[in-house]
Amino acid sequence: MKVRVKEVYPIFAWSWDTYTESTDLHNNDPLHNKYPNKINNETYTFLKNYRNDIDDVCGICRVSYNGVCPNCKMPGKSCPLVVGTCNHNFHYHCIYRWLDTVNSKGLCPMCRQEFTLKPDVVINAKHTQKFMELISKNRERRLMMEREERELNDDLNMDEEDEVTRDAIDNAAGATEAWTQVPQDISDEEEDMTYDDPIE
Amino acid sequence: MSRLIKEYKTINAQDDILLFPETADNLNNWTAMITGPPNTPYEGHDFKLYISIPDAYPNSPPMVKFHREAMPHVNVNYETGEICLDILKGEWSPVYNLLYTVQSIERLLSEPNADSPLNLELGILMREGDKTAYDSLVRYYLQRQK
Ligand SMILES: [Zn+2]
Ligand SMILES: [Zn+2]
Ligand SMILES: [Zn+2]
Repeated sequence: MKVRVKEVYPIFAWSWDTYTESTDLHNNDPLHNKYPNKINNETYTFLKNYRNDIDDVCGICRVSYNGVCPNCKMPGKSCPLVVGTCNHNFHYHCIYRWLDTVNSKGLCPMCRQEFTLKPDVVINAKHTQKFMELISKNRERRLMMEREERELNDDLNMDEEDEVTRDAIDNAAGATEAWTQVPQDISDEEEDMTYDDPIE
Repeated sequence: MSRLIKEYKTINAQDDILLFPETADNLNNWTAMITGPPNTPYEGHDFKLYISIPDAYPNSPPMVKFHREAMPHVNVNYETGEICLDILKGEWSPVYNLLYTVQSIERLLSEPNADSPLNLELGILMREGDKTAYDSLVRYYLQRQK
C-alpha cells in the first residue's frame, strides 16, 4: 500500500519542568515535615494529588504555571516561570511584582524565607540579574526600616518614659471605674439574666 | 482582577461561609458574616465584616472592618470597627485570599491578643489576666446593643 501525505499539521505540547511531581519532597516543604521519612504508596498518591492541586498553580494569581499571569496573553516565553531556592515556583511577573512592594520585605509568599532564585536552573538564568537587584533593594529597605524603628523607640523611651507610665495608670483607673459600674447597670435592667461567671 | 473572579467562583461553591461581593459585577466591595465561636462571650451573636479591595490586591491586603460600635474586642477599635491583625498589615502574603482572611478574623474572636490593643479598657483587663472581667465586659457591650 502506498500512502501519500497531503498535508502536515504539527502539534506540540509543553509544560514547565517544575519539581512538583517528583518524589523530591525536600526539607523546606511543610508537607514533608508533616509526613516524615516513611511514605507508603497511599500517602504518596495523596501527596501527589494534593501537590498537583496546590503546586501546579501559581500561588499568587492561582493560574496554572502553564497558563499566563493576569497581565499576559501568551503563555510560555513571554510569561515565564521562575523557581525559588525554597523550591516554590511562580510566574516571573507575579513574584517580581510582589517582591517589588514594601509589604513583601523580600520574602517568599509561601514560606516566608527570603526569596532568591534557585541557582543552576536553566529557566532562572535569564532573570538572575534582575532578581539580585531586587534583593539588594529589599535588604536596604529592611535595614532602613529597622533603623527608623530603633530611632523611634529610642525617642519614645527618652522623652515620654514618665508620661507613658502616668497615662497607663490613668487609663487603668478609668477602666476599673467603668468596669465596676457594669454589673449594676445590667442587674437594674434585666434581673433574670443568667451569667456563666458570677460577678462580685 | 482575575484573581478575585476566581475567588468569587470558589466561594460561591461553599455554602457554609457567608462571604459575598456587594454586587456580582463589582468585586471591590465585599461583605462577610461571621458567627461568634462557641465558648466565647461572642457565642450566639453574628458579626458583619466590611471588606474593600485595594487596587494592588493581592499584593496588598484587603481592608477589613467591623461595623462601628459593634465589636467589643481587645484588637478592635470599638468606635471605628478597625481591626488590628498581623496578616492585615505586615504579615500579609499574596497567597492568602479573602476566605482565609475572614477565617483568621473569626479565629481572633477566640484568641484575643493582648500585645496590640485597640480597645484600651479591654486591653487592661486582659493584661491583668482577669478573664472573667474581660468576658463579662464583652457580654455587657453585646447585650447593650440588642
Ligand atoms: Zn502567577
Ligand atoms: Zn505574565
Ligand atoms: Zn518559598
